[in-house]
Amino acid sequence: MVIISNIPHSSSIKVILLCFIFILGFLVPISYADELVETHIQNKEVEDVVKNNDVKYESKTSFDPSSEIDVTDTSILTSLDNIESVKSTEQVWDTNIKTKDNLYYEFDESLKITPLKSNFLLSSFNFEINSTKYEPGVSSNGFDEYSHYTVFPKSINRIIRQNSVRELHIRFTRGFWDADSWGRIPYDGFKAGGSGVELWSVIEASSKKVAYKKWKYVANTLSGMFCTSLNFVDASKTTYPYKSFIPDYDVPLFDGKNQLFVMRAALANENVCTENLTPLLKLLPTKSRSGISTLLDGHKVFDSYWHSLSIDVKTICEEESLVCYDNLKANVGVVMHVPNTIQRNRNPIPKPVTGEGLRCDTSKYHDAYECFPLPDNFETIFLLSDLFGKKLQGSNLISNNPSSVCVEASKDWKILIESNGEFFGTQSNCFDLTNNDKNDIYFETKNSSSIVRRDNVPLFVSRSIMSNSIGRDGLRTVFRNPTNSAKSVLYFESLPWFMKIYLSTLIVEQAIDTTTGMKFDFDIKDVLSTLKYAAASDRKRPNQIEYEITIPPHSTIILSYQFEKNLLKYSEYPPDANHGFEIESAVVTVKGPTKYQSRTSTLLLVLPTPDFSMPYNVIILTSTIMGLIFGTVFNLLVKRVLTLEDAERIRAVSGPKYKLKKLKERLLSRFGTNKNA
Amino acid sequence: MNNNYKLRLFVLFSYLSVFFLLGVPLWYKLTTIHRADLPITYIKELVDNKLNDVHLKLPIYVDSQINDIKESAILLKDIQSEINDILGKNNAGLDISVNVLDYVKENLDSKNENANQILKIVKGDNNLKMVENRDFFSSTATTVEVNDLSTDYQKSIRELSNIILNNILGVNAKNINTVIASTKDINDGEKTGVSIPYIQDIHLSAILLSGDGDALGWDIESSMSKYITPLREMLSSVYHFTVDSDIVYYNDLNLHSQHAVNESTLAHILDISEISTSDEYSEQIGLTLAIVFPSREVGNNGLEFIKPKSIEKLDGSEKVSNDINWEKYLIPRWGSLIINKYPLKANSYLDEEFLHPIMHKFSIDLLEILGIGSDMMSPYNSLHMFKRSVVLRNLLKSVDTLQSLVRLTESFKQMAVPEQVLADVNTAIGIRYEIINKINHFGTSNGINNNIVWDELVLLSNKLVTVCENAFFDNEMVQQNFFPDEHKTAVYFPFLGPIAMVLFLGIVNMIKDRSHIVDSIK
Repeated sequence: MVIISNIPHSSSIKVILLCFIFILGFLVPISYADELVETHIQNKEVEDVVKNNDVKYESKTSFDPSSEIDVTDTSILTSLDNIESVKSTEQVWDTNIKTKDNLYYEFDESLKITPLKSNFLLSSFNFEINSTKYEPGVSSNGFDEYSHYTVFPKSINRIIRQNSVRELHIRFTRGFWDADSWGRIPYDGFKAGGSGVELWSVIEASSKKVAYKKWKYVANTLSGMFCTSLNFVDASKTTYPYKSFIPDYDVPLFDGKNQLFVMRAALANENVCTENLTPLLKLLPTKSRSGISTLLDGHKVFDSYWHSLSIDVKTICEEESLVCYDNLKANVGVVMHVPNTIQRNRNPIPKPVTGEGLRCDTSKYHDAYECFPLPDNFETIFLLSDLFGKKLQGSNLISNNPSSVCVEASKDWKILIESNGEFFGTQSNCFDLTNNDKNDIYFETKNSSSIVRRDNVPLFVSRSIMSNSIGRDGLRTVFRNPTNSAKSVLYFESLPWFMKIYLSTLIVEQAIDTTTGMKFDFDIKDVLSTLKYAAASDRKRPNQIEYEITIPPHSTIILSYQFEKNLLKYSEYPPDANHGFEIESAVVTVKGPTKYQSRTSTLLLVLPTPDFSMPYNVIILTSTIMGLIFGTVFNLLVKRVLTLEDAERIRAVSGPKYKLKKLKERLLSRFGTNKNA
Repeated sequence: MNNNYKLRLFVLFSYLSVFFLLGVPLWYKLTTIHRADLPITYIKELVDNKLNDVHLKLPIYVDSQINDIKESAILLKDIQSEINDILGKNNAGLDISVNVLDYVKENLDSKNENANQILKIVKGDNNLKMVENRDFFSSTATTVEVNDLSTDYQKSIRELSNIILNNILGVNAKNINTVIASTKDINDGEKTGVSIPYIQDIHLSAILLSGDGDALGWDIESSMSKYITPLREMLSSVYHFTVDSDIVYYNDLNLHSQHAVNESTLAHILDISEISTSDEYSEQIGLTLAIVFPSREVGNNGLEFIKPKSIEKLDGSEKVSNDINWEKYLIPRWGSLIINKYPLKANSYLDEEFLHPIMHKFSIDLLEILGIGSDMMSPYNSLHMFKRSVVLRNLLKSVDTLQSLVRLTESFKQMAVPEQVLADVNTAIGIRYEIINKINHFGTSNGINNNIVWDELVLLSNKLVTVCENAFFDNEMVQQNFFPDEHKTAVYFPFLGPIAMVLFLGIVNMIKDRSHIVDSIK
């Protein structure tokens, strides 16, 4: 009845068809779930939920209780469109083109959403693509050799095939991951990098020199493709890790005469922005037009507390058939603060909270002028589109597996999927998007602090620079093991060549049992099992330190060593030399029982900066001194040398006194003449 | 005092002589840029006589199957004298001679047969009609049907000679003038901007684009095997192709964005920036076949400006008509664009039948874009013509580049000319001499393998162009092009200024002293 009242009376055919479509919508349930659909809440029920709760973050457009169902509702508009299309001619197809069943490609995508403590929300977008299979080592110049691409990005394929890259990993990460509150980094840290851009690769080559040439080509190409400064990666920034980043499986070698080289470089604190995200989205066959990638908007992704973009490409060979294919995994992880993000989306220009909107601590004195604000509200209702500004545009249509969305939330959360005004829920909170309509995810909880328990972080590591007055600085690394078991850790650090390290000063500065506060008497040899060090070469190679350290349970170990700062050449300073030099993060890999990787924060090293007008000053000063010396010597040799008597005699007839006397006489004679006249 | 003055004068002059005779020349020498001594006169002579030293001698094998050996010899002799007459009258600006050889006498084996240009004269119903080549890529000879030569013998000889010059060798006055008239363009195609400059390594991409996101498939492998493989084989001596195919979703080159797309607005609407970018291949040049299907957003009736039509195609020896709903566009220096009228259904699969007419048209377009030309009875003849054109063009281009180099060095007196530039110029002159030598001696021995010689010449001429460009674009030379003299003065003035001032004041003092001495003597 409600619907009919909103439809123009003149169009009776439309009304009948609309009713038919609406009824059909009830009779033919849309299957979203891979599991039993438990909850099927109609619009009205959600409206009740919204009404009965102290709603803070609900979307007014979708859940306005007063809206009922009017013609402005999107679902109705869709129905009206359908009516129009029924009236007009049907879509005409080219009859020369046939169809084929089971036409799918190897592409998968999923979105995992996890509420975190303090009203934060982690969204992790995962994409996986496999290339078509190929025979390794076949020349592409043969008359009958063709490469065929379907969903795998051609640009990435070119990089890896042309440079014999067997593995390629890129990381763009910025922001602060609050490990104390949020627990482990997603995917145990293996899909996140240090702050800035990180690149490492396994390259097949006949020698280290050839491998470096290929590596440089890869970095330059990726630099152009992802609009980063990776073209600044050169020998002075490239490291060859011994144990960290080494693949834990047999990497295929296409030519038995070649070797595999692992190379890595990082650009500390390099800015990550939309120009990095857009090329990543272009690698996907859906081009962010359908599926979960429709949510990825640069403005939202980078307006977050922590974000990480990663691309991992591997070459996988099947031993039986001797064919290989390339596998690409892309991940975008975003942590948003839900109240702040929604507030910012509603009011892009910040405004002070109105008096009515203030939530004051009633246990303390409060009036119109004084208010002790309460912490964030734990009751929350919001839609995914409130955070990302868009709805999910259906599923990808090229894969056998539909796009899926999973929410990892505790039982205190009510998670539903919304499509065409209807809401569905599943026991596992996982939803397969099997249609091509706009979908949204509905979140509701009375206690947002109730989250799924995440595994504890096995190790906390921090690093800092110490300065002292004797000219040498120090680098201190603090390892804290909060768990009950000892942790064997692989530590990798790359420092620029202008940090001259004194490895002999590497000591255990302090080792404390965190439960009792007792100090351990550890020597460096007691905690380090292996140490690999590649000393820096000026402008050619960075310092590379890699060691294995064992951290006892519930303990903190502080290692430190000293270093000296080298002076740079005049032209080696960047334009903002006084900002300092960013030092890339150290990489810490916990070897077991569960592997975990984390990075320290980046460091800022301040080097003494020269006066940049110095060269011209030097020229001027040197020239002046040389001019003075020359002038003195020249005058000594060329000027007339006289005896004192001669000088007196000459001065008596040509000196200043003589000239004044002459002038006086002339003046007097002139005035005297006038008087007489 | 007098002696003292003379000694001081001597010291002053010593300083001045050291300053002016040693210091200034040394400073000038040390601060003057190095300019290698280029063979400017020789290059200027080359510019005035670009192809005067080229004598093109081309062999043509005539296989006359209509008469006996004795009559054949007479026929060949008559054709030779007719060709000589025609070439003598045409002042094409290039010294060309054609050597008419007997196909049977020369006894070409099957290998050499493909490599040489042959005219077959066969008995037929029509008099002096070129037989259409059914098999596009396998034809090596041009066949002419002759009914009766004796009716008008002289006219027949003239027509056969014209076929040799125009259709087989492509050395008529118009063709040669086209080459010579323009130093930048070699053929009509390139003149109009359709063709790409000759580069050996080329990437070919076949891309299927759909405005929607439904899964698609195409039988591109078999279509490429049928049309691109023989083309790659035929052009293998001059071009190395890498070929790939790709499917791109959600991209209809912007066709859906405008409701009123028509042929006149197409060029403004089409957005080809995101397909076949240089990120995707390592070669310098990439050519593309893009088959685009619009998004369903364009409406139920598809793109209005694409009109369904019927085309004829060869099915064995039979011609059959085929209805198509697409239009082909040639984008200069980029490739072919096939715009389909209707969007694609979900799970559409383009089979061989659909793709074959498209691939056939693309292979013809490809020859045109490469500059080989598509209006031909036999692609092999066009290929021979193309090779000769490339060599001649490269010769002209290299001289032009050297001329530009001379102009550049003469215009910028302060620009350094490194020794490497001189070395490159000398290498270029050497390569040019080698090419001219080979051209001039080509065709003097019978049975020579046409392909091997011209393939070698094409590579050499390409090397010549590269060496000339290396000389012109030498890094050190171009970098110092704008090094200002003022900068030099600014750096040295703080040193030279005070010294010159001291010397100058010394001279003034000496002159004053001299006047004092003269006064005192008086």
